[in-house]
Amino acid sequence: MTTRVLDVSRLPSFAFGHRSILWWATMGMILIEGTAFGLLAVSYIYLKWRVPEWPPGFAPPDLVWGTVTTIIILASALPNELARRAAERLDVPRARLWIWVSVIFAIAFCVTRALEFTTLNVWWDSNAYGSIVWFLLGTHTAHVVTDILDTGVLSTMLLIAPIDANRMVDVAENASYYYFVIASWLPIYVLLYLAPRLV
Amino acid sequence: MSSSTSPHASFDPWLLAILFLGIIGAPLLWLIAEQTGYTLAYQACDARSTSWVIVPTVGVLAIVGLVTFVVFRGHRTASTGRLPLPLLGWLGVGMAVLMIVVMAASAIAPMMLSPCD
Repeated sequence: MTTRVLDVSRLPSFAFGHRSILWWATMGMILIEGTAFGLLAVSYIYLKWRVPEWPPGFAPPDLVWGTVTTIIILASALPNELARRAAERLDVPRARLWIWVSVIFAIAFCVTRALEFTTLNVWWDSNAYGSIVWFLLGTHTAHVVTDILDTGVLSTMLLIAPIDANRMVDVAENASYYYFVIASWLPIYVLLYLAPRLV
Repeated sequence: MSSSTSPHASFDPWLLAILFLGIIGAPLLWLIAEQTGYTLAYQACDARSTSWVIVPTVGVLAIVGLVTFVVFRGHRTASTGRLPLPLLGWLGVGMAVLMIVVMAASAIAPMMLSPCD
């Protein structure tokens, strides 16, 4: 009996996009967390259908800080994309630069998000509306905070640790996940800030 | 009209802090353990020792165990309070226990696999 052996030594040790296992892990996370956001949005809409007046007994959240937050998070897509592209070119200095700019944007976002919580016009335990508003905003904030921690560690590693191509894959996938954080915010903004005024 | 800055019937802030320690703190500790593992992975490979990954995980696991104990005591107090304290108590304990399971499961892989090969 003969044994056939494949020589795979010439295959690359890293890959970007769907050829990387990290990409599939990120997509799995996005699927799970996207489902959770979807369930929260459905809960909000269900509660809205149950009462004649919406928001029930409270003014809608003030527009200012929510809108500022939305502008900041949309603007943060630019450094995020530049970091992703630099990583895919294996351009370490630019990947390092743009990922740090992304961290600064995310911190600014957290500051305005904190101000957002002060202008929701309802407490988390006032009624079911208050609970779902705080929970939706809190869940999204948790994503931003964890993303800052993730990106902060990665950014620091780019400064102090050995850098190989796999680290650039991490940068690219970190950017992919951040797009989910941005994309998940837009429907929440419409639901919390615009829908109570328009519908 | 009520607003989020107007006077508000408050709960015991210490009890709330303890309950949210389970709901938010335990998952945050898991995140810290994961990030520590990521940071130390190269060192573990250089030293050819998975202890660099396992020891921090076990350390954080012990902290989560302590958090679970504290939250469980808070849960016993919260169970007699008004809503939503009992719900928060159950959520806190449930989340802390879940994080113990998740972190124990996370520690199994580096004990069984040799990711540096």
